[in-house]
Amino acid sequence: MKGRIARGRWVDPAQSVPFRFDGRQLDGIAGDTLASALLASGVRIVARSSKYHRPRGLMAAGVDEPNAYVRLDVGAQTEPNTLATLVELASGMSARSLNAWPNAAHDAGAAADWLAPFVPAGFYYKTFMWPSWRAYEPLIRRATGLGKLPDSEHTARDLAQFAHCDVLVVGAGPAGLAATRACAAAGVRVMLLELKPRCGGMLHWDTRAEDEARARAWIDAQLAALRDCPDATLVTRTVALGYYDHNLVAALESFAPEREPRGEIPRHRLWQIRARQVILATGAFERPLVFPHNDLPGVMLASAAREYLNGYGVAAGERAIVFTNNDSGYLTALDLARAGAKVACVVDPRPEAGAPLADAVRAAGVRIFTDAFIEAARGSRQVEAVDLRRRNNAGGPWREACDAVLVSGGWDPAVHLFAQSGGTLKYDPELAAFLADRHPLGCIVAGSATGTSTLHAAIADGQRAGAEALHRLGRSARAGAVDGLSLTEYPPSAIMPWWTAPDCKQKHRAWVDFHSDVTQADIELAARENYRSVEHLKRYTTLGMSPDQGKTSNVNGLAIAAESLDRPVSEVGTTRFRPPFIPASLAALAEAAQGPLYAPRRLLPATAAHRELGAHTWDYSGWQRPQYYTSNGKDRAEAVKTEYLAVRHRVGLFDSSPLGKIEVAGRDAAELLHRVYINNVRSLKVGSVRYGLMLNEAGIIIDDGVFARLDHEQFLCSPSSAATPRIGAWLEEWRQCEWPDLRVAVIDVTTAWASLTLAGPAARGVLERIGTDIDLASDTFAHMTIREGTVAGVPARVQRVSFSGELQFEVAVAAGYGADLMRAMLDAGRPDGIVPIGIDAWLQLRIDKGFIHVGADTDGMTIPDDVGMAGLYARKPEDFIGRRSLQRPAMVAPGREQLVGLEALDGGDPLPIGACVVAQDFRAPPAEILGRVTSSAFSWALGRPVALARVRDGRKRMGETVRLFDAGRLFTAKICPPVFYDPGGARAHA
Amino acid sequence: MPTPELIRRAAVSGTDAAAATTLFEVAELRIHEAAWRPKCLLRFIGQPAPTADIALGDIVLAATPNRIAAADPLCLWLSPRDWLVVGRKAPAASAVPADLTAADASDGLTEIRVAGALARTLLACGSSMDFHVVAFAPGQSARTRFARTAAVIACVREHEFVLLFERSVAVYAAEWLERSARMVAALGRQRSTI
Repeated sequence: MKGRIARGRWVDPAQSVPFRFDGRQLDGIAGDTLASALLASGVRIVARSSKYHRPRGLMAAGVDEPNAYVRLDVGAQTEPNTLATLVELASGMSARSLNAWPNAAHDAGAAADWLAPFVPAGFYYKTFMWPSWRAYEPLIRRATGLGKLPDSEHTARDLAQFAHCDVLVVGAGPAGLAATRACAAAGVRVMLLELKPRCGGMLHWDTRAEDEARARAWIDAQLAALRDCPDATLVTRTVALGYYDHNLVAALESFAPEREPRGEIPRHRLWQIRARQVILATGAFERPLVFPHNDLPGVMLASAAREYLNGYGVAAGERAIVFTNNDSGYLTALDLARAGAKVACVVDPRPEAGAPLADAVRAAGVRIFTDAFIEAARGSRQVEAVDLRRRNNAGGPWREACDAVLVSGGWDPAVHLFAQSGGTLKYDPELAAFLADRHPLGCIVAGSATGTSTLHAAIADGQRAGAEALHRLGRSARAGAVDGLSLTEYPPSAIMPWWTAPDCKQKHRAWVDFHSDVTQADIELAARENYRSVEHLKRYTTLGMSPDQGKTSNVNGLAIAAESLDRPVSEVGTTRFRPPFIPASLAALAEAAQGPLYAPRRLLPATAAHRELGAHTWDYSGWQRPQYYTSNGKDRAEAVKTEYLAVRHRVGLFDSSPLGKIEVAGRDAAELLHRVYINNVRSLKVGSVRYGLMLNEAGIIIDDGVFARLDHEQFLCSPSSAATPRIGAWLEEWRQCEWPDLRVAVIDVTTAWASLTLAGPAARGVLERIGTDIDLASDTFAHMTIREGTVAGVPARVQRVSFSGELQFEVAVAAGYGADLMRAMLDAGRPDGIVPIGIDAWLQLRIDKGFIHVGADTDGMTIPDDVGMAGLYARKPEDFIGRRSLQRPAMVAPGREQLVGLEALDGGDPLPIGACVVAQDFRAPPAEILGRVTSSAFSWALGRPVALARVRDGRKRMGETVRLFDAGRLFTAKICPPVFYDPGGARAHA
Repeated sequence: MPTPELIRRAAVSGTDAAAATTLFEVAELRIHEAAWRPKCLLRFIGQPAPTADIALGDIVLAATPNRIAAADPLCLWLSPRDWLVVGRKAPAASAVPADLTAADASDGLTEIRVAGALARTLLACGSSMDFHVVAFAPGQSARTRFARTAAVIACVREHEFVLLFERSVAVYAAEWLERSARMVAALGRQRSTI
């Protein structure tokens, strides 16, 4: 029946809500979900299956829906994979079916169904192997894909929030509400999650009409009571995605912009909830029944049909047949008949049904066939009839016309969260379901998630769960905290497990997993091929691997496997459930970590000044640093050349703020550093600076840099920029764990300082012009010394060190002055043609001088002697970290890769970094690799390319001509000393 | 050439650090970058770690973990051997006992204040700490991870907090706070209560 036949409890027929589905303009009413509106509009085919592109209709009404994933467009927002059953209908909403072209009703991909005999379970392990699976993979992926991400940039806002509580209750059905109320009444911090917009669960639609008002009043009373508890928190439209160690539950709250018109409302809020106790009142999912063509649109879960009828006033069909092995189907038949819908019959394989309920159904004019089953459904694009048969060949088959088949194979408690967090399950043969058993975190399960089947029992069980949680917290439950509720319920009768139709002739058309197109025949094939483990069977057949994660297919599939393997269901067991419970948007999980907030970014104190200068910035270990400056319209290469030449001939200004500043102070400061650096630290005079190396225990270089002695018991270490946090932690670890007797403090104050380096022959003049009380003359302020004083009127530390090979002053002031000092230095340097220097030029300058860049010119095998620095510790008698390792045979054996320079003999282009050094007579690989180029640039000062390399026994090969092989290209170079420019160091000492 | 006059600039606003700057403000949530104050890190290097409060002029270095010893200067316990004092510059080495060392952190940390009825909700968006008033009451502090970066957080009043970030990430942290604050303010309090 198209349209609505009853008054829905949640909808308002007076308010029309226009929407579009697959391009068609349709109308729903306020309170509808997209699914209920589609059903009310007579849309039967809402999706296509992933493998065979079979037409699929609505199977469920909630989170267990396996078919109705849609792409949702609301305004500028697009959600590629959304469950129609969870979407609250909004005016102007547009939804599209997935995996179908041009639409779900008429899909060109439907031809895939003809290929079904050729693509059984595990087909991708057996077919499409020649010439390569990869040749077919793109096509198959496109044919079976889900929603596509929009091309436009993701603009939705996603928020994350952490929460803590004494008790977390998942599910606000009758049991969850009762448990929450019990806990809140005791005054503990309690949090309740509900995935739907309204609390109450089955109380809304599983109650008789005469009980509706009473049930609603009970729900309202619980919510009102909770509202008075300041430490009770309820979050609706929130699904618990995962349950992790130490009672951490991740949940995703959804907001709809069309529902929440305020501009800053997020699209999602990712909750991470830490609870002392967790109560899972997650309910149960009804199980479909397996018979041929049970996937035709019109075949629906009986409970879903009841929810659509009572909640939204929509009948699942004009002439329905109910197929059930338990009471649930009877309740649906009764509600439909009482609402005026035609129910052709109830088909029940049990010899007899529960008396009062079956009598009520008969009294409503519905025929009941017990000891019977559906042999097969009939129809092409939707179900049109079913073939019925008596069990034990006692009659039939006969055909009954229908347009809806409402099925119930029993109820599976929603134990997903319980199991994914490590809980074990046990099979209950009486309920024909897996129930929660033991849980490592002591999680409490309540309500129908425990297998209870009446609303009365669910409320009582919720109270019990609440009391148990309180008991574990050392609190006692308040008597009478939860109101009672009187409902008219039929006494439950026993279920009869019914997994497959006997003597089924069309097993390959009897669907178990509707989304992934897994059939009874597929599972039996896997069993025949000896897939005895359910985990293997799952992966071989893809059973339960679709977005619904097997909510409707898992137990049926396992039971069929058990029958095929001739083992009891309890022995076969279940697969391990995994988070997320439902598909979640990656953007929602990323929350704030998108776009400019993708990761914490460090800005230089003078960032504003760099921007004014047209700096092109890049990420260097989290620091956003200028690569080069393009304010004059030059391209990158020109800009780098200009900056390089300014330092060589005039003066440049480089922002060296990220260079480490670790203060080491205390009575034993010198001793700590003496043990860490390979150099002699004790002998360093106050006011002097020394270049040093640090090794790890294996003798490998982990960092280089200078250290200065500010006072007798105070040092300033400058590890390389990227290594500073690591070196700070390294020093602290040794101090705390190995040498706790040393009285020394290690404090990283890098970000407290702005460090601006003037480099070039005119550097001294610029610093003088800007104003300083420090005597800058070379005889009083020599290279490799440090002075404290004022620069431009503010306190400063000035070091004379040189990474460029030129006269250089590194001026450090409080970070807040950084931007102004940079501008002032540029003003002061204008007569000398000062330019700001980026990282690109800075690193090229150091190659001229053969200064190593740890990590580029060294690797995880490099020791000091490899880079020509064994002399740093030659006269140091004491031990230091890594020293003993340097004496191992491998460290002193010939053949180690040593740092050398390379002169290109082919022309003016820089040698490729990473190129392999091979012998001069090299013709083609394979060949012995002698080393690699580690740094390379064009030296404008020298007018030729220069390169550094590490070459086996490099120092013995001086003057030797070698070949360089790089991605098929060959170069010729001569090995030379690594210092190309001003080898005597006169310019730095100027 | 006359000596240029340098202005100490705030990390987030870029304006004179002597004045506070409002970063976000609605009725129930206010965020501002506090005016510059001197700061220093004090570390005890003797053995064993102190078990009683240490008095250092008008500064009290509390032995009780995660506590603020005073509001101005704000003295925060960081570890059994570390304190951060906001409002005082580092004393000279000669002015502190032999077992204490001091390092200036005046410009290394940026102070951001978050206040209002939704302040705790906003903080709960950035850190896995429990910000319920019972768990994080006035007078308590924590050195923690906030917005994926390091922070020191102190509760100075029931609805007012001091957040200290490394200066280099202050702009990132402020952008993060503003982005989250807009959403938290839009949601208001109705979403987190019944």
